Amino acid sequence: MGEEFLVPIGPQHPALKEPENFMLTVDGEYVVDVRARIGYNHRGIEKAMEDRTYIQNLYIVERVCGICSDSHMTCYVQCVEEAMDLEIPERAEYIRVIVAELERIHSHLLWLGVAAHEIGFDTLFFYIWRDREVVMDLLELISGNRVNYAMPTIGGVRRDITPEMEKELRKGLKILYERTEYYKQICLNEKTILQRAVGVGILTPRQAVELCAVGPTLRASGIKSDVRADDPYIAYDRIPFEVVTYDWCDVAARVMVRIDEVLEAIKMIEYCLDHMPRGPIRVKVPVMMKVPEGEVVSRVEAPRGELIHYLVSRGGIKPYRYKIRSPTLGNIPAVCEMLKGGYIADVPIVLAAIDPCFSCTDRIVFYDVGKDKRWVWTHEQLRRYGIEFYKRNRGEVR
Amino acid sequence: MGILTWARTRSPWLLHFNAGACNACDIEVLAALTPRFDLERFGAILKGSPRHADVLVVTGSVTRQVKDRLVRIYEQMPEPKFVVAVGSCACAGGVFQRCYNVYEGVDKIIPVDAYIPGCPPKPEAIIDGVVKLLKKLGY
Amino acid sequence: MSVPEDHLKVVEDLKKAVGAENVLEWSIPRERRIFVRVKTEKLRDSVRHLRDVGFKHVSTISGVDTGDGIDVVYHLARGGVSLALKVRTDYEGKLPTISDIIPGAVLYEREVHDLFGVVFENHPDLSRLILPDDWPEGVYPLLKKWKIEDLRRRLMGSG
Repeated sequence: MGEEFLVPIGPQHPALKEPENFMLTVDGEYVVDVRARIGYNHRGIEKAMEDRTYIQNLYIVERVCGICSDSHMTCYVQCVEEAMDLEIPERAEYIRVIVAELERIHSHLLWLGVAAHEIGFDTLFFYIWRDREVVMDLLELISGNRVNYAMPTIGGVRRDITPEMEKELRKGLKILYERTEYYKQICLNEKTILQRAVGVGILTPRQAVELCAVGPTLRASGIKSDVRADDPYIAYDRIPFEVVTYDWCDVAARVMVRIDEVLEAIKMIEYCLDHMPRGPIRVKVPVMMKVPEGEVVSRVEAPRGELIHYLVSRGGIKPYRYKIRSPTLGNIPAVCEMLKGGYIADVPIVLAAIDPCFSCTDRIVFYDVGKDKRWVWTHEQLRRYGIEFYKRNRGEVR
Repeated sequence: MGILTWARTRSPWLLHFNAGACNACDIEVLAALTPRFDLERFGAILKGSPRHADVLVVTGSVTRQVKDRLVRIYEQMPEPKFVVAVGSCACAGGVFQRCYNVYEGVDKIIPVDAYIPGCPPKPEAIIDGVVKLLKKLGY
Repeated sequence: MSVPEDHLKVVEDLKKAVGAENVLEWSIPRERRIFVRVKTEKLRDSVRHLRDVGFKHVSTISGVDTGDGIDVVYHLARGGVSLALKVRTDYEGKLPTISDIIPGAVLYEREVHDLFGVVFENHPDLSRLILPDDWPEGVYPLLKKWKIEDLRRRLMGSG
C-alpha cells in the first residue's frame, strides 16, 4: 500500500495572500491532473449586501479585494448609476480613470515583485516594491489612503485632483515610467527569469477562449480582449490606448503583458491630466436612495481581468440581489489546464502568473499515481523545490 | 536602552497568517518588510514555520474555513507566544461583521495581545504596533 | 432610444434557432446589453446557438431566488456585448450542464450549486467550491429563506 505522510502545515509565506487549495495528481516530476477547491476567503458578502443600503454597500464592495478595491467600487457605482439612470459629471469620469489606472500600476508592480520572489529573485522583489512606493504615495496623495482609496461614489468621485496634486502625479509617473522600462529590459534579458518563464505554463488561444480566461492571462495567449476597449465604461471611449497582447502563450508573455500595461496606464493617466474637463466632480444622491426596479450588468477591466457585477433591484433602498464575479475565478479552469503536463517545479510560477487574487495556496495536496504516495506541501516548500530544481537542471530542461 | 540595542539582544520571529483577509492588510504587512519601512531593522524577521515563531501576525476576520488552521498554527507555536491582530477585520470583524461565514475577529478564536486597527493600517502603524508589543514584552 | 440593429438580430436569430414560442421575454436596455429568457428545456440549444454566433465567453452564472423559484442567469459575452440568458428552475431543481458546450462554465455552475442548491446534471465535478468543508448539507445560504442571523446562529454558535 502507498505511504501517506503529511507535512505539518506551515504558514503562508509573507509574499502570499489568501489561501487556496489545489490537489495535484503527479507522476514523478510531472503534473498529471489538477483539482481546484477555493473558499478560504469566502465571507458571505453577496448575502450581506442584500441587508445593507446602497451607500453602506459601497464599503463592503470595496473590500472584496484590497488590491483591486477601486475596480470593485467602480463596477458597483456604475451599476447602481445605470439602474438609476444617473449621469455623472465628465470630470468625475476622468478622475475615475486616473484612479483605476493608478491601481493597475500598483497591482501589476506588486505582482511583478511577487513573481520575482516566486523564482527566488528576491533582490528584484525588493527593488520593485521600493519603486512601487512611488505609486502608493500618489494614491495616498489624491485619496488620503494607500490602500482602499474609496474615490468613486454613487454620483461621481469624492475628491478632486488639485493643480498641486497634478504636478506631483506627473513627476511620479515619469519616475515610474523609467523604472518600468528598466524592469522590462531585465525581464527580457535576465537568464534566471527566462529559464523559469519562457515556454512554461502554456495556454493555447483555443484553450484560453474555451476556458473563458480573462485579463492578462487571456491577452498573453494573443486574444485581443479588454473590457476597456470592447465594452467601454467611464471615459475609456475618449482615451486612446493600446490593448496589449503577446502571442507566446507562456508565463513570459504574462509578465510582458503586465509590464506593457503599466507603461500604457502611465500614458493614459497623462492623457487624462492633459485633457481633464472642468466642472463638478459629483452629483448628490440621497443617503437613503431608492433604486428603481430592474436589472443591470456592469463590467470593468480590473488589473486581473474582466470583473462583472449583476444587480437585481425590486425598488427599495437595498439591493434584492447583487452578484460579484472576480476575475481570478475566471482564470482557475485555465490555470488547471496550464499546470497539466508541466513540472511540479513550475507550479508556483504558473499559479502566480495568473495573478491570483488569493494566495497561491498555503498548502497543496499531491498524489503520485506512479508511487501511490500522497503528501502535502506548503507553498514555501513548493517554491523552494522549484528554485532548487532549476538550479540543478540549469540549461538541461527546455 | 534604545530600540536597536534591545532588538539585537533577541530577535523576535514573526509569522504572518491570513485568516480570510481581503489582502489589503497583507500587502501592507509585506510593505513593512521592504526597504522603505524595513521592519527587519528592529530585528523582527518573518519566519516560515510556527514551530520557530514568537509572534503570530494575523489579518482577516477569520472565516469559518480557516478557523481550524488558525488554531492549529497557534498550538504549534512554542511558549512564550504572542498574537497581533492587524486591521479592523482581525480586531473585530471590520466591515464583515454580521456576515454568515465570519467569526468577528481573531480574539473570538485565540487570545490576542495587541490590536492594530486600520483598514488597512499603514506600514508605519503596523511597525509601531509590533514594536510597542515587543517593548512591553521586554524584548 | 434606438436599439442597435445587430442586437435585435441576435434575438431574432435565437428565436429562429430554438423556436419563437420558446423565447419568453427579451429586452435591450442599451447598447451592449441584451436580456433574454428562454424555456428551461431550451437551455442547451440556446447556449449552443449563441456560442456558434460568437457568444463564446461565459462571464459568470448568477442564481437569483425570485420567491417563486430560482432564476439561473448565464452571462455570455461576444466582445463588448453582454447577453444575460435566463432560465427558471424549482428550488433544488435540476438543470443540464453547459460545461461540455463551453468548458469555462464549469466552476460557475459549481458556485450556483453551493449557494442555491441547483443540481447541474452531467457536471464533471459538483463538489463544494466555496463553502467550508463542514458546511451542513441542504443549507443553501443565498436562498431568501435563510436570514443571516439564522445562518450565524446555526453555524457559528452566535447571533
